[in-house]
Amino acid sequence: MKRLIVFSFVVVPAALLLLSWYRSTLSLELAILSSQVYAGLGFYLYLNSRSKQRYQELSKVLNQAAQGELHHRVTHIKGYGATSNVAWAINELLDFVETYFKEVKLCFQRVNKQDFSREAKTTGLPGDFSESLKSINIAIQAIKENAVFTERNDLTSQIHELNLQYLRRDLQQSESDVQSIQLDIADVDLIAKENNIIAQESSQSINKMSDNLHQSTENIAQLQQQAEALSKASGAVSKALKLITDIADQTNLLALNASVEAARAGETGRGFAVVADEVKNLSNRTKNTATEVHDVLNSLNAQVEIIKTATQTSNTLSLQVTQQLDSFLQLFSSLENSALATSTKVATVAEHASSAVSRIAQVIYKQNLYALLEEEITHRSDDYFDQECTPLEHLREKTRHTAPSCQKMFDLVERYCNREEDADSLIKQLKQIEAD
Amino acid sequence: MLASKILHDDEVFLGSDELIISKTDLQGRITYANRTFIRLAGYDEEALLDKPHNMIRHPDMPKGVFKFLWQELQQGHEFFGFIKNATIGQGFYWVFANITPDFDSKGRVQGYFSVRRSPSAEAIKVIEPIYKNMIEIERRHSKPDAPHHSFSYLNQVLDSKRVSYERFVMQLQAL
Ligand SMILES: Cc1cc2nc3c(=O)[nH]c(=O)nc-3n(C[C@H](O)[C@H](O)[C@H](O)COP(=O)(O)O)c2cc1C
Repeated sequence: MKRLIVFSFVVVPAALLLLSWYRSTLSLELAILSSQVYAGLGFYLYLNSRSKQRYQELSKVLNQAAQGELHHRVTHIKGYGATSNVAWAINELLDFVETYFKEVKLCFQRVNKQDFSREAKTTGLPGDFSESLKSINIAIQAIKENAVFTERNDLTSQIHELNLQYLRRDLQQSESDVQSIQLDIADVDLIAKENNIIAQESSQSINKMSDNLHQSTENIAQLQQQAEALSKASGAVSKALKLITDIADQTNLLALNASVEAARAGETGRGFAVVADEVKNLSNRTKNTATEVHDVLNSLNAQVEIIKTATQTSNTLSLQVTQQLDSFLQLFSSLENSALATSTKVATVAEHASSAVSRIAQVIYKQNLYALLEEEITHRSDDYFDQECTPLEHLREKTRHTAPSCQKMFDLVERYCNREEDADSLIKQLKQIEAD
Repeated sequence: MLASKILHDDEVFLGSDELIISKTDLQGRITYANRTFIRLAGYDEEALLDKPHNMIRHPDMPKGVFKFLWQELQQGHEFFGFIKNATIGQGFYWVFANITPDFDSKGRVQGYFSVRRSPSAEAIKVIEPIYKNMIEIERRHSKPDAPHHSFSYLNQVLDSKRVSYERFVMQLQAL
């Protein structure tokens, strides 16, 4: 076909031209005309080969796209003339397809790394392309929600577990606090009972002591009576002794008289007989008096015996009283000691009670904080334009009055809410704070 | 081209149903520009091909942003950002650009691909003053240091908002 065209349009006219020139029949007009025909023909052939090149270019780009290389394009389109619209249409189709696939690829590359922040951009793409990307975004959103849900669940359950574990520990500690308070109170009770017994004993011994004292006063009164009787008896003795002195005086006088009469009469025996009688009487009376004195002395002795016994009794009594006083004093000092022990015990009980109270306050505080944390985790928003202030503010005031561990925990939760800590380090640090 | 010339120093807009697409080689020389690019920038295709992409750079764009752009691309990451471009007639247009590395069948980077979308007007209101401050900072520093300083200012702004660069621009675009 091509050969036939070349033969009929090139070889035959050229041969005819050559023949007419050789036979000098070629006119100028004919020469011009024929060269014009040739030039036209040449241009046609040139154009033909150019457009063939263009078609080759277009089909190359399309073939490459068909093999999955979407990044090739047709360029220098100005030269495409009538086909330039086709070239641009191919480019545009490739633009859309490549953009579409890039979007899908880039989104899922990130989704694979658990990053759901990259949405497929649907603007600018026509019809099915953008519709499809919209569906992909919905799918990614669903994957994200699922992942977030799982992650949140995981995080909240971790926090739950952590909380429970340490809540149990805290409650156990509170329980043991209360138990030791119970023990302390039992001790205090024991001491109080001991005190009671001691007090009872003291009152008994005081009673005994006062009985003894009564008896002792009675004894002493008796002793006084005895002493009076003794003094009366001694009066009688002195009377009797005076009598004896009188008698001795008279006997002396009579003896003098008798010696005088005997000297004057000398031989008269009668007068001597009278004196002798008188002396006999005197000696009788003296004998009687002596007996009386003896009796008096006897009764005196008896009185002295009585006094002795009374004194002894009173002595023993006073000894007993002293002993009782001693034991009474001892009781007092042990009462004092037990009072001291009671007050120390009461102080430790108070200490235990207050530590139990503050521990319980701590437990309650932490429970509040854990509750807020869970709320934050479940309601956390990714959009920074849409961040509300956290409900932490309600706890801030309370935090100032809590234990250092609670304050640390508050700061940590606050940092987490402010996105300064991620979930992993939150859990790690929570564990550390609870374990400290 | 005509439109751009008439709108001297004026803003032209990329439609929300349009994309500006271009490709470059590893050095940032343009290897392809689509018709929307050609229409908005006002250059014809031949004038764009093989030219460095900064030929449409607008002086209001801080260097720090491009420093970050190249940094991301060289790490194999994609880049998102609001970019103000110049038209041939000294007009301008804002885009929300996404630039990604292009890999050949053996997984080697063989060039870059950029798709620009119509930006959110609210986003431009937020980003413009930030870029202005960056430019101001760049003016106060010597040329080689300037991008570094303006970029660290941008990071300070992001830090104060506790947001990453990408999340920030994504959320701006969503406004
Ligand atoms: C694919 C791709 C697209 C780019 N598009 C733009 C653009 O639209 N506008 C722009 O100013 N720079 C663009 N750049 C960045 C430029 O290459 C250049 O870094 C920037 O204009 C700054 O110019 P300078 O490096 O001469 O300061 C693009 C780069 C790549 C790789």
